[in-house]
Amino acid sequence: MKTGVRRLALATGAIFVILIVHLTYIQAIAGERLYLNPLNPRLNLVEQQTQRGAIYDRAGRVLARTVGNPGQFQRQYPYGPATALVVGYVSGRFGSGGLEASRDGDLLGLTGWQHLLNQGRRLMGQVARGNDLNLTLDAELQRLATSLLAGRRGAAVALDPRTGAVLALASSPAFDPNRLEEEWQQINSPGAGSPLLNRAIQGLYPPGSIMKLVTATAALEVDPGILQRDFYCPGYLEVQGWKLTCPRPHGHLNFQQAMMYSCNVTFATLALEAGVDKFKETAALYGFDQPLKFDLPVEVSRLPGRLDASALAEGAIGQGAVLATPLQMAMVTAAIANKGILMQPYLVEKVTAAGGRLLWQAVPRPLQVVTGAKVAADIKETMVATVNGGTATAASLPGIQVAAKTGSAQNPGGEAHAWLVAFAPAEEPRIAVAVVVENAGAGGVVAAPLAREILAAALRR
Amino acid sequence: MISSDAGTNRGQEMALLIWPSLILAAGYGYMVTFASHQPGWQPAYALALLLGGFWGVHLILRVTRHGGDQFLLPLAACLTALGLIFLFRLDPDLAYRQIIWTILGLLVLIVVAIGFRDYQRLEQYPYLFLSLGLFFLFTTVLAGTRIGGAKSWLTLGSFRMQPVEAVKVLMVMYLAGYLSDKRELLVQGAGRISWGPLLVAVALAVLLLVLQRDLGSALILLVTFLAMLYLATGKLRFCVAGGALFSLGAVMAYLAFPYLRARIAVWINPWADYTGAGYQVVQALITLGSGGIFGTGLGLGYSQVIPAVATDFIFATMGEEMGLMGSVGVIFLYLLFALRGFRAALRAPEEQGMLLAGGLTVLCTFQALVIMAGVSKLLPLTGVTLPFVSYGGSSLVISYLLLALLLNVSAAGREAKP
Repeated sequence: MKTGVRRLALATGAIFVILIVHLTYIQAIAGERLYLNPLNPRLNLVEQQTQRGAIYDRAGRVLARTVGNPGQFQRQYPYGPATALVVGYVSGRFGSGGLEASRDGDLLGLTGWQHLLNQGRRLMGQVARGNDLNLTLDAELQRLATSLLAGRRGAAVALDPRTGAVLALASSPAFDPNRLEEEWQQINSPGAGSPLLNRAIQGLYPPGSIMKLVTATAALEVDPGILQRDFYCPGYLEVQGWKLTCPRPHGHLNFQQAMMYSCNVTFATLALEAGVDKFKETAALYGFDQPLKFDLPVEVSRLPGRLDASALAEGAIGQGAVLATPLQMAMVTAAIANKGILMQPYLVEKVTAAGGRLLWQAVPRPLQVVTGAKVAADIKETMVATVNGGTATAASLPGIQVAAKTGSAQNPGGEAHAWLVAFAPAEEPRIAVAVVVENAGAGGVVAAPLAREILAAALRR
Repeated sequence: MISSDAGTNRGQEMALLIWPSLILAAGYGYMVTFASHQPGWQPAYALALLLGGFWGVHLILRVTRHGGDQFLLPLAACLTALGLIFLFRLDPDLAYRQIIWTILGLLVLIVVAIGFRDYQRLEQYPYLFLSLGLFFLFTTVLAGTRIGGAKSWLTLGSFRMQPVEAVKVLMVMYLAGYLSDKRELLVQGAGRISWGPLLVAVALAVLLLVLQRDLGSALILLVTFLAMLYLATGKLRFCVAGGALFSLGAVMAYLAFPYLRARIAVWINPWADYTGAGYQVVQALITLGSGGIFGTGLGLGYSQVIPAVATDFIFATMGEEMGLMGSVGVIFLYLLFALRGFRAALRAPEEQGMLLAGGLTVLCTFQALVIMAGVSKLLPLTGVTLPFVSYGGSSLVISYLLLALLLNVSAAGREAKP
């Protein structure tokens, strides 16, 4: 019986050790994450006692700042609707969104040692001060992109292909964060077009012919010889009894011409030749079906789980169940512009303490080597040709060579979504953009001029 | 090692009682600083009453030359003192009542420790305890009030009690008598009849508890029963069989009762329904996480958003305001309590005492474990109190009764030695 008691004591001790380990995890390791959870009512209290940090764009322009005295703090957003969906909002009644939500811990000074420091300040009755964020965003470019989209539904993303820095992330319609509480009801009314939705990263659209960039990558990797091949387009392609069509029969054409005129038949054929696995693998390297770590919550762009031959042919031209965010398609473009190397997109350049001391700085890093420099250069060439004499002539700029691809994505909601992705200058790309305008028609007509303006403004700097 | 020559070692108990006294003094400081606006509060009286209570018990034990373990009373006093401070911080009215319950508990402790020093006298009537326990359970099922999901309250006018706390101790007392009596039969596995009353008793208790939806108490009772069975027979396979039976029952209950399924779903992912069923657990986790390693400091937490924070969730408050250091400290207090309880069992002069002390120790520590693990989502949440700490008259008084019985068994162990 005595051994029984001893064993029972040992078992009790063991269970207590498990409990202690578990609590250590909850309180010491997961503690900060739990504390910064938006469901934590303590954050509302801290909010009232803390001067929230400011948010600046890449040139130091103020995107968000706090004015007033403790207890009556007011948050101002000088750029209003233009930066609303990136910077976000913070409201005692309606919660928070955008970076104001995802970087709450930094802005309120609640991370790491800052937390203890600010807690001490609050205990002594002083006002705690949060950290400032410096973004990669270019506020003027952002404003331009937003105004170009005004009155329409859509999004525009501009990246620096060399670093992955996000220069613009516009979504329309937007809302005015300075008047959020007054306009909350209107913002959420059914006719408003969901202005709280950041279409650039949360909107999932069929990518249409933009997807041909992915298909081209897969096809060129399997057989570089297709550059010299002669294709024939009778205007349709029958796959498993299902008919895929081109707007018109393109007749005989080479690979470059297939891109220039966006020939569905050729790219569907190429995808079928490359095979499902190669197509999926290439798309995954570009970021499809992969969760993306970003400063804001991003929807995952996706391919259908099972692709049979007809679904593959459809997917190759960006139709069917393929869905992508504008950010995803900007990443595809940026990877081609950056010689096949996809950089991790980022929005927050650095975090600085109230006194200007640097606390954290982003380091550009490759996310994925998607393809070789040769394949990327070959695709770039076809995109240059597309601007110079194909579907994207409306995206051309005087004196600067632009490379682009158009897309007009069929969708059940009415007219096609107009897409355009582009980068410039083609020889040494400094900016890659993706523009989508919902139900607006042909990409080369509607989206191309928008992308052109954004490229021009960005390169003029 | 404590010298066993002294027979009683109340001097050490006196030295150790300084710690809960310091905790209470700190609590007094907190009270006079923050309770000035509390009408009807006399912090000085409260402090004097509590200090008088704990030191009084010590003196009575000393005067009567009680040989009980010298660590148990200071450990319980530490837990109660901490509990009172956090109760005061959460709800001064509850703390006020809890002080009265503490004094009542200490009186029960004295009565049992002195009056029933020879605990074997208690064990002459195991069936009395069984009937009493079952009576309590039946009345609760028939006439009970449902509060917070579990139908485990008896209401008499403005007075409410939770009989299940008493039932648990009565069951341990019954089982200690019964098992020591029938131990030979059980070890040989000869008498099939000897299994009968035992299984019926426990099955009935568990069934009634399931009817009351008090799953935490059912689980605690079952574990205590299995532990005692293991102590009595030394055969692990009884426990394995018991555990398997329980698992079967649990699966059946899972399929039969939607509320149980909901509770398991909340355990697996409380974030899925963070405004509804998962609210308590989500807020408890956030509360614990917000405390971090060093805690926010007394009164600076924000755990009042958790429903039932003063009873079932008081550990979350402690974890937030004292941090990981404090919550692990509380766990250590229970661990030490368990070790002293098992030591009493080890030293008990005969089987009955060993079973009684072992059973009571498992009962108390496992209950603490179930609620501490439930609050931190290590186990599914079941609404039981944290012994000696949570607000609740029945729970506190019964905890002190349990302490008295442990003291008596440990005293018997000491006195039996030459």
